[in-house]
Amino acid sequence: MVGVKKKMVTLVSSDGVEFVVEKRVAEQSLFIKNALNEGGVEEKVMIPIPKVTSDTLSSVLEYCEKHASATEFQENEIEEWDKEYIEKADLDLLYYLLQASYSMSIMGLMELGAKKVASLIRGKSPQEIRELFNIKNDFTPEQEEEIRREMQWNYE
Amino acid sequence: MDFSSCSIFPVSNCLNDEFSSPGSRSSGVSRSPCSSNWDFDNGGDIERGNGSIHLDPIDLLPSDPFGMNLSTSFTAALASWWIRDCGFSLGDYGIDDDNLVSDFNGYGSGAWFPLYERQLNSGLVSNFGSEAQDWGYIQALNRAECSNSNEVEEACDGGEENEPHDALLYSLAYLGVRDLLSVEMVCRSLRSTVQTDTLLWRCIHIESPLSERLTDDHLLHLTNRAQGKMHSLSLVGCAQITDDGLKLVLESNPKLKKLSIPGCVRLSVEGLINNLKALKSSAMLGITHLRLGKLFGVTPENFNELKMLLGVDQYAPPKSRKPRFYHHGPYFLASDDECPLDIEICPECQKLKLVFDCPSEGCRERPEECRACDVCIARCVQCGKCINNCEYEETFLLENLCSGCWKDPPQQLEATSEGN
Repeated sequence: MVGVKKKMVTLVSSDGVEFVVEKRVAEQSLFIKNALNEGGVEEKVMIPIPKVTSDTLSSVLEYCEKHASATEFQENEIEEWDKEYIEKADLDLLYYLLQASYSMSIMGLMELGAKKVASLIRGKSPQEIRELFNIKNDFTPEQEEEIRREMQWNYE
Repeated sequence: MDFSSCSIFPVSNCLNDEFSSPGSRSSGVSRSPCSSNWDFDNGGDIERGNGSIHLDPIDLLPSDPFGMNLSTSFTAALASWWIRDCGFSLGDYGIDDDNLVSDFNGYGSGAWFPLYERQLNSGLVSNFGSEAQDWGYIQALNRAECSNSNEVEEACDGGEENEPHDALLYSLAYLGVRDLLSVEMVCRSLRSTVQTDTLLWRCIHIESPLSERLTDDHLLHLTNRAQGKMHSLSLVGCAQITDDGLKLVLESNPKLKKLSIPGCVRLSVEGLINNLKALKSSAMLGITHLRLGKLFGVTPENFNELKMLLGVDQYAPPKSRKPRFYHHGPYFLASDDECPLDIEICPECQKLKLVFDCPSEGCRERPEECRACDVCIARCVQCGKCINNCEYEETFLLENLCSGCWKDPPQQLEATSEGN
């Protein structure tokens, strides 16, 4: 950890787009942070981020940028920002964000995304959940019957 | 789970068919014979408690002639593989730097998957042979391609219906019991995840409308999913739960620390004390926080006994607690309230009750004067202020509503707790 002055790193998304960001921003990802610390950082660092497309990565970096400078803001300001940030993500992006935050180890973003998905599920019936997330009902009629009997108490 | 014998077993062919080609899984209406008892085994196992199993021998016959429980174990193995994968790789990023860097260096040359491979080699699934390994590998590659090319549509934008996305699984931890039960009914893989992930059942909170219908058997069924790891149990208004039912639950969950039973009218304080005593005598009592709510007629002897059972020093001066305000909303374990017991001696009537403080400005200066149970000092159901010195209305339910709340009703508190 030498040379704190605006060290830049380059992240490369899975579709080959390069993002040049400050090191402290990239280090919001535990995964990148560990890699940088261990690897003995040289000037020109290119970090490939597999499985994360440029669209997703730019959104992820938007989050990282805000949270890298979190100390400059009031706590509720960050909360508000988080809320707005996750609110404008559609379901697709939400999925990608969750997967990216998991593979890049960004715990805050993962929690934020998971809570948002949970809020979409809350209060919905199984059929509504299937429709929302486009999940196939793969139970056999016998299993359906079994489940119906088992869960009857819940829906009386 | 031992898969070592699977390879000599003819059924493994159908596992190959079903699992080694994930591409066809979305359209996989074709059901291999062995998967038909997948649910049966799982459900039966859990339902055994209340004796309501419906057995149809014909379902059993062709599916698993040697009683190997093959498909059940396989699903469970996949589920546990996923859980291990999740836990393991998080730890991997956080702790195991050497491995990380070696993985990391490999990315450029396209070798992103040593992690998966290592996982499969080291884990439960390894005995299963190369099919499983290939499958994991292929799936990993598919996912990578998926996000690489952006051509394969995600579950939500294609018209095609699919398996649940991994992202859904992360969110399960933030759902309450009622929603978990709904998710469980969505599809097979979610059902298996919800039923087998013990972490989802560590803190169980049950409130209306589930609480009215919850019987002893259902409660035992749900709490058993934690496999003894339940940490906190909160039953709000579960009118059907009996002392005997609670006893079974307590016995199978020695790690339980917090128990909350407000409004469980069929429970008695004597029954509770007997249960706790029985646990204590077998050195299984871990409960340190107890919430009784309003309904129990607790005598001073009961109170002392409870304090002793919870390990509270009887002669220590009571710790100052955060002010508690009266309101009509669901009463449950407040996470910021660390008192071992919620009831205390009311300064007015000297009975053991929930004692409330007053949020009104005038009383805050002399908090001791406006501190009593809800019988001794009448309070507004909305804001909890005492209504001694102001106008108030009586609602249809004979609750008091101060004039301020009557004219300008505050927004309803959200009844469901976030993230349970």
